Amino acid sequence: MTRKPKNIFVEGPISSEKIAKSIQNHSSKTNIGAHSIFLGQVRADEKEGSVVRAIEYTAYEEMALQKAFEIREAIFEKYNLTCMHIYHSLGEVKTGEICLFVFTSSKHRKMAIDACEELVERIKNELPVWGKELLENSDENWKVNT
Amino acid sequence: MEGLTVKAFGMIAEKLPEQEFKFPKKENTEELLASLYNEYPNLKDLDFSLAVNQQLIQQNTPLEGDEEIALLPPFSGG
Repeated sequence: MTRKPKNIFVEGPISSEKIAKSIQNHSSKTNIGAHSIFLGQVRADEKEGSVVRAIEYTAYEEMALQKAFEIREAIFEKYNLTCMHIYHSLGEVKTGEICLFVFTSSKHRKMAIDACEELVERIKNELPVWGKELLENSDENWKVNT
Repeated sequence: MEGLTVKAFGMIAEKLPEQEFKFPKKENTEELLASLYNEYPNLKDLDFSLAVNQQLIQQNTPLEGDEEIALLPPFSGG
């Protein structure tokens, strides 16, 4: 079976209900012994006399989906995973809300944990997505990944 | 319509009059960049990469003339 690019983008924050449901959906896959989950949360960083209240995400969607697909294929190739899910927010996500949800599942913990870590790093470095920090004092600041 | 389609993203999109616009055909990406800098001098101060038909390029790349060119500032997703 050839896999095709699938949508990873969610409008606004990723709800805890969505995360819970995603875990629940795997209960029938009884060959899984380990899940690894990464959640990215919008942080209230202090910026020149103000503080971040939200991040507004935009993306070059066609390229991002193609790139996410390539990364996904490479990770599947490298690690022995049962499944892998990636969700990234677009639009406004307030501080304390979830903007990135990466979920890997495997028979054993090592594969799931290592794959999840590499996936998060590659997503942050390679997907054409941009975050603009919206500050309490109405200023804006383009986020820089460290 | 003939010509290149230029799309700007993130911070770059805010520095140009339009987020997406048509641009006359160029032989390669170096020529295109020179013309873009000429047209929009404020681009010179900005850090960005080019994608041709959604593929990031690292060096001068020949163009057919109808490609989709994207101006991509450093990624900051997640």
